[in-house]
Amino acid sequence: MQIAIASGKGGTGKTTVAVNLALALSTSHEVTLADCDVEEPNCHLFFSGHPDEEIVTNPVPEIDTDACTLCGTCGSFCRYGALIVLTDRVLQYPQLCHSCGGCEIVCPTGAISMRPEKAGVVHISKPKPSLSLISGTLEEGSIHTTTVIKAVRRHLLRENLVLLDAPPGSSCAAMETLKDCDFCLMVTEPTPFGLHDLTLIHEVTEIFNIPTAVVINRSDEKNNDVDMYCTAHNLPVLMRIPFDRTIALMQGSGEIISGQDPVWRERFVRLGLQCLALTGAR
Amino acid sequence: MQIAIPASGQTINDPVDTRFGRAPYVIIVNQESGATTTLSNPYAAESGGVGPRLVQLLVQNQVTQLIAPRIGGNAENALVAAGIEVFLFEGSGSVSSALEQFKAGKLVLMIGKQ
Amino acid sequence: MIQIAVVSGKGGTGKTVITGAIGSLLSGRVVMADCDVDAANLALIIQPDIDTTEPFFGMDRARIDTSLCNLCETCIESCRFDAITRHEDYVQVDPLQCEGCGVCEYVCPSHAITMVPHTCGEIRTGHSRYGPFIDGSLFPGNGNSGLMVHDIRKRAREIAPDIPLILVDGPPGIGCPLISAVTGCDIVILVTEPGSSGRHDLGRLVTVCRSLRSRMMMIINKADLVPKGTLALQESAKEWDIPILCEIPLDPGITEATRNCEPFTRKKSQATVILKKAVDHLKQDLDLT
Repeated sequence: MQIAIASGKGGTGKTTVAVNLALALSTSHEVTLADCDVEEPNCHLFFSGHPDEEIVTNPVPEIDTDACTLCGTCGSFCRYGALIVLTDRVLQYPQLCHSCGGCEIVCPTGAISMRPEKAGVVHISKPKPSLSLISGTLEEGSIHTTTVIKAVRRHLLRENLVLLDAPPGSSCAAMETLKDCDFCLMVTEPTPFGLHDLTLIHEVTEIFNIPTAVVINRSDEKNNDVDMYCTAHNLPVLMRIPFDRTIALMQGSGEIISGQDPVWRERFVRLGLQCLALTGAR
Repeated sequence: MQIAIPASGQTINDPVDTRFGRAPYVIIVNQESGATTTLSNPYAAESGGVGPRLVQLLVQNQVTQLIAPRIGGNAENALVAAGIEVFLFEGSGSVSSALEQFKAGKLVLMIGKQ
Repeated sequence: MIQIAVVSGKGGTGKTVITGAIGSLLSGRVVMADCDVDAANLALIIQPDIDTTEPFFGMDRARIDTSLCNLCETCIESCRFDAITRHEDYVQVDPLQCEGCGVCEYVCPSHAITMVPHTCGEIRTGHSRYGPFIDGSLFPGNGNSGLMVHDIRKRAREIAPDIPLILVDGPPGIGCPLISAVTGCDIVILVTEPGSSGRHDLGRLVTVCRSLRSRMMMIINKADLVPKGTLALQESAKEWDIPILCEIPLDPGITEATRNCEPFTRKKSQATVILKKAVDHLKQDLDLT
C-alpha cells in the first residue's frame, strides 16, 4: 500500500503531515516513510539515528583517448551539450548528461564506454522498530532528480504501508513519485495560492486515476474557496490543522507533535485509518 | 585570425547579442581579409549545454578570438580548453562598433593569456 | 538591465508574496517575471491583464511512423528512459518519459522515427498596475522547466527594453530550473524563514548560488516565529558572508493582503515599513534612485 503526501506548492505542511502520520501509524502498522522530495529532503530532520548510505549513480561517458580520433560524431549527436569535441581533446560536462547512451552508440571507433557518476544518495534508517525511513538526497548541482527518486522507490516493499513525501509541484519529479501510488493525500492551505496549487496537483492525480483526500493546514475557517473546491470535486477533507504558534515552534525545532501530544497522535492515527479505508485496504 | 561576435541579426550593423550561447547568429570576421561569414546558431533555442556546443562550432570554424558581453560557466571552461581568447564587450552597440573598439585595443581580455 | 532573482530553496517561505511586494514598491520601473513554472502564483498577487498566451515547446520528442515501423524493437532496447512500449501491432512513445535524446531515431533501421517539437506548456505576457508581467506554466508532468525559465527571462528582457529592472520570482529547489533562474542575475535574494528545515535547505541553495557566482542577500521572513531559529540564520548568514537585507515579522497585514490577492505593501503595516526601507536600500545599491 503506497500513500503519497503531496502538495502543489511547497511549505504547506506536507512534511509535517507525512512525519506525523508515519509516527502515529507505526504504533499499529509496519510503516516505511519514503522522502521523495530529494531536492529538499526534510523528513530525516525529525528522526535521530545513523543511517546506512547508498550512493545513487547514473552512467556518463568515459573516453578512451587512445581510441578516440576526435571525429566529432559524439559531440554533434549529444542534444544536451555534455560532450564537446575540440581540436586536441574531448571536453565533458557530466552535469549536463542525461545518460541516454547515445554517444557510446554513435562512436565509430568504440572509444566511449559508460562510467557511474554520483547523482545523489539514499539514506536508510530505522528510527523505531516498526518505522523505516528511506530518504533520497540529490547531489548539489545535479539534474537527475528522477534518478534519485527511482532509487528511493527501489527500496519500497509492496507489502508494507509506505508513506511517500512527494516533491512539490506537478513536474516530472512529482509524477515519478505519484505514478504507482494507491492513494494521494493532498495538503493545502486556505489561501488563493493554496487553492491554485491544489488544482494543479489534483490534475496530476486524475491523470493517474489515484483516489485522493485533502488536509487543510493553517485553517481558521476564514477562506472557504478551498472548501468549495473540495465540495465541488467530491474531495473529502480529512483534517484541518489550525495555525498555532506551538505547532510552528515544535516543527521549527525538529519535534513531532504527535510524538508529544496524545490528542494529536489520536488525530493522526484517525487520519491514517481514514486514508486506508478510502483505498479499500485496512 | 578569425574573430567571432554573437549577434542579434545577420549583418555587422546588427547589435551584439547580450547572450553568447543563445544568440541567434554568430558573425565571424577574418582579420586579414576583412571577410565576414554569418553562422546561424543551431543551438539558440535548445534546452541545455548550448554554450559549450557553440564553442565546438567556433572551433570547427577555426575561430581563435571572441568578443562577447556575458559568458556562462560551462562555455567559459570550453573556451579556455579550446584556447579561444575572449574580449569583454559590456556596452550596447553594433557588431561593427564592437570590432572597431577591439581594433583600437579598448576591449579588456577576459579569457586567455595577457 | 539589472536582474534580481528571488529564491527560497524550500517552498512556503513567502517568496512569491515578497516578490510581489518588492515589485509593487518598484512600480513603473520593473518587469516582473514568474519563473516558478511548476506553480506560477505571482499573477494571483499582481493581478495582471494577460495580452498574449503562446505555446511553449520543450525538447523534441520521438514520433514513430507506424507505417514504416517493422516492429523490430531496436528502439525499445536502446531507450534508457523506458519511454517506448510494444503493443500488439505497434510501438508507442510515452511523451512523459521521453527525454528527447534522439537515440531511437539513430538506431531505427527503417527510419520510422523522427524527433518533433513538443508543446509542453504556455507562456503568458501581460501588464499590471506595476508594469509589464510575464509568466509560464508547464502542463502536468512535463520536464524542461529549466528551458522554460530561460525563455521567460529572455522574453522579460525583450518585452520592455527601456525598463531598467527585471524581478524574477524563482522556482523552488536547487535543480535545473533554479540554476536557469539564477544564472546571470545581478542579485539573488534568498527568502528564508527560521526553523530547522528552512536552514537545512538554505545551505544547499547557497552552495549552488555560490557556484554560479551570484551576489546574495537574505530576507528572513516570519522572523519572530522561532527566535532561536532566526538567531541561527543570522549566524549562518555571517558565516556565508551574506548580508541580511531585512527581517520581516509575522504580520496579520500580510495574511490579509494575500487573501485579498494584492501586495501587502499597498497597506501600511510593520512589514510594509520594513520592506520599503530594504527596497530603498536596494535601489541605492543598484543606482536606481
